[in-house]
Amino acid sequence: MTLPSRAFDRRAFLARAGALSGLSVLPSFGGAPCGARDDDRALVLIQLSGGNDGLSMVVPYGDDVYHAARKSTRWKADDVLKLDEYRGLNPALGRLRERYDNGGLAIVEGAGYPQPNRSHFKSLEIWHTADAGGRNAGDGWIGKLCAAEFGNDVAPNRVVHVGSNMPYSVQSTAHPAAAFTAPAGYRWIKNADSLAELDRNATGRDGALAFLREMTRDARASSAALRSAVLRYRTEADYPDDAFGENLRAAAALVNGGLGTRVISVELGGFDTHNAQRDRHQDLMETLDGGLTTFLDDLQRSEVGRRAIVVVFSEFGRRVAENGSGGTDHGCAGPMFVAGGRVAGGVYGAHPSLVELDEGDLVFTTDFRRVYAEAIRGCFACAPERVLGGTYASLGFLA
Amino acid sequence: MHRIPLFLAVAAVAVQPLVAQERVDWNARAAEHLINRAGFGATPEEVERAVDLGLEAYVDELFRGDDHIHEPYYTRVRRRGALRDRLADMESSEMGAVDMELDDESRRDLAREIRRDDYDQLRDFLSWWVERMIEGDDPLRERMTLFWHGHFTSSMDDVKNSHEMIVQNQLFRTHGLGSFRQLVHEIARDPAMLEYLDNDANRSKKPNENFARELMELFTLGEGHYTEDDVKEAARAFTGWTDDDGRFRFSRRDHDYKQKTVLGVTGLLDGDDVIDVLIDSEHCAPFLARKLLVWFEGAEPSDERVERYAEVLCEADFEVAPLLRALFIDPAFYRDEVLGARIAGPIDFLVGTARRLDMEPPPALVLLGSSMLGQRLLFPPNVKGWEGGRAWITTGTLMQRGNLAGVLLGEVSMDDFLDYDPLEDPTLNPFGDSMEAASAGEMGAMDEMGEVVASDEVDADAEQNARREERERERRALGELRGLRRFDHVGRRINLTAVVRDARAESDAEVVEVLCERLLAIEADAATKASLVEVLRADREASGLAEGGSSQRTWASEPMLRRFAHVVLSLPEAQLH
Repeated sequence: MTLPSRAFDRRAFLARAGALSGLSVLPSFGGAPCGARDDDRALVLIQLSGGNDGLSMVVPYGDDVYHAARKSTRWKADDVLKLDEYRGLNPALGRLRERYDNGGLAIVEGAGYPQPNRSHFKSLEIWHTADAGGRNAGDGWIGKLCAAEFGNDVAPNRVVHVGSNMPYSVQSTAHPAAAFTAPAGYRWIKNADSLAELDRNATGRDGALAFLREMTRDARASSAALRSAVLRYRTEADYPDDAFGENLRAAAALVNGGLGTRVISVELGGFDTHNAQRDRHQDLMETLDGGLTTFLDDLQRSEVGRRAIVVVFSEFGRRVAENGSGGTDHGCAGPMFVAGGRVAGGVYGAHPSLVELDEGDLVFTTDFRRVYAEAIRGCFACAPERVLGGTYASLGFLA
Repeated sequence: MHRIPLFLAVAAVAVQPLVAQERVDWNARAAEHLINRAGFGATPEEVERAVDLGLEAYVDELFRGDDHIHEPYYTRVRRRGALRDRLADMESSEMGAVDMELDDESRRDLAREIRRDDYDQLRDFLSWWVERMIEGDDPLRERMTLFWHGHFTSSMDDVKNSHEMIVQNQLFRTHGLGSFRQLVHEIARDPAMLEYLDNDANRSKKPNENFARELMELFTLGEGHYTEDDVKEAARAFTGWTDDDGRFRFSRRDHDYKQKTVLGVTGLLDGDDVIDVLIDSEHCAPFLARKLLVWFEGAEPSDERVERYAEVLCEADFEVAPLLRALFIDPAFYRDEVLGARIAGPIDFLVGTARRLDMEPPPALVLLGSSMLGQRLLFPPNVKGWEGGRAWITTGTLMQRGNLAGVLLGEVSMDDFLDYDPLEDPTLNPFGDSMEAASAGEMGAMDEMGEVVASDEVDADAEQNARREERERERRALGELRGLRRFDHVGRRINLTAVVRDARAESDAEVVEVLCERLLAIEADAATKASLVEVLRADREASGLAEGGSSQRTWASEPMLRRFAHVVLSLPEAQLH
């Protein structure tokens, strides 16, 4: 007799999970259905797509070089929400500033990586795989993380992307993410039983069809639980009336709902500000500020939520010098935010020099994988080296 | 006969594929494959016709096309011009010759009206496009238009002008099978592109790199085949390329006339020179050949194959049609790895299903459905366009595909499908997504062009009004869809009973065979078909029909067959083509 293969394990598990979720698993804050544990710690990734201008988010208002380089996009000393003598937050980040004052927001300066790539897509791949090789290096870093942490133990609700445009970070052959845009539509309106029956009898096939069958199983296994967790979620947290707020609300429903969701990904797009940057970027900061702080408040409602770590990142910062259209072109290093109940607030890492530039761009001072490594240590049992392929020292934002 | 030493034989084989000697095994499977990829799918009857016609004659037909590229659609409203005209109208009629400004309320009304017209026009155009895909006589041209729309991307979200978006789309339709070189020269002057990648603000004093970078990375060379200096130098060459009231304009005083060096070529280069330098570089032909091969084959091509098709492109000075012709008669295009192995995109799935069922769904439904599945036409997600392939499929979109197939079949009512309030779902907005962004941006645009918004104080108000109005428009659009319910009255009826009867299918197994052939682009395996027979049998018995009764036009057979078709279209197999 041969040992059961991994595919066999996965299938058997999903069949069980599907059967269970079919019996209407209603998530409650007390119970822990579907493999959730009381000490679960969730990691929430918020991607600012398009290349966030870090100098407009954490403004080096105390630096004359900044004011000289940024005639049309700059924020003056009187405008910014001062953090110290050198830096201040964008005026639209008032609520995050309060968080910072209360010690719950870590600002990581100068995040980036060696030999920076200024292509949106290549740079995102590097952030998504934590590897200079990008997609050629294999699964996204969350996929690698799941493989290291959970091995063959597959759970369809474990990694969830809320929104369209699922990032490569959560793509994985062994541990694919569930994804939805509209929770109400996260189901088969008809034929769910027939499709389950058909799946039981289907014979294997390679390539795209095998992939589609796996996704079909994951859909069936996650449909009832995810859908009801989000649709039945009631919260006093007053999310802003925009897509980002709506998606964060769903993310909070999953974390607080005790589904065993360990990684959630949400995107806020629109940061590719080649023109008219000042107003556009400020609007985005307002959206980020309102959504993120409401979300962080909402996470206080459950034990799992209080232990969650939220990481905000972008594929690159923008050039120090402005272009001629009131905007900035693609650059390199930029700040990250890390927040959550266990995060010790403050500024981590050094602000990159505005004078010693690499082809006009900021040189990174903090490898972003240090943030990943610390987040892994904070939320998972596996060694970060197994995910990141190297050792990255903690910055110390986790108390 | 001589025995050839093995190493020589291997060498001969390695060179051989450069000349396609074997012929395509032109049968129904091959014909359906070609129609799926060069067009949008077909009924078994159309496949049969293609087989009878023969491969070469059918390929000729694909390139013949129709003469209606421009004729059926013209853009009614060029917004900027229209705005000025109407402003002039209002001022003269309401205030005579008196030099007075419009009050805020009139300005808001005007802005709202113009915005509504603009989105209505976009919707009209999109409906026309979808109709051309479903029932047009020029499927290859529409397939290529879709390709170029995902290659030279621009989004209404940023361009905010339906006229310019339509003009750009028509450019792809006109030149989509013609010269890539010409297409690049034209796209560099295209008002929507100038706006989308900010070249309209690229001036010599401080260049804007956005267009120059994406021109190299995404349009002609691919990442890694140029340096940061190339980007900066090329940006200088495009300084002063701007637009004026929706038309390309070269602004002499904003152009940098000094010497530039791009990809090692030094000279007094302007934008057109740079485009030719890029296209004539060693990396452009393989880049474009690879992208076209991936688009049509749905599989990563071998380096040899890329090289061979790059040669075809170079020999034809970047005319696209010769490459496509070569591909369509290439036996390798019909290899197992390619046949039925591509994941259908949302448009492929919805339009393909409509074509296989020989039905005409309301274009609004196809557009809404495609948006929900991740492909919102004229609103690509970013400058790289849609990623395609496996990225189309998430757990969520997979289930929604099944539900949308149910809507197409009349098995799922719009009320069930939209059993929540989609207006409250900000990610789901078929015709006017990111309302806030759009309205805020448009108000800004108005400022620039016609001082429609007089003061900052009205901004907040106007924005709120714009949003409310957008929601009303959404409500109307969705209301129309809801009103359609089971829209059998639109176009021809789906008649699966007739399909089964015409094929003389009696037993459950025969019915399964006939419907799988019609609905699926690939052959389902035996185990799946056996399970489908069980599904059909159970429903047939529950419906009180005897075996063989599926072909009777009874009150029970058609609903039963549609329920069955809905199951088939929800299968993983139905997502391939």
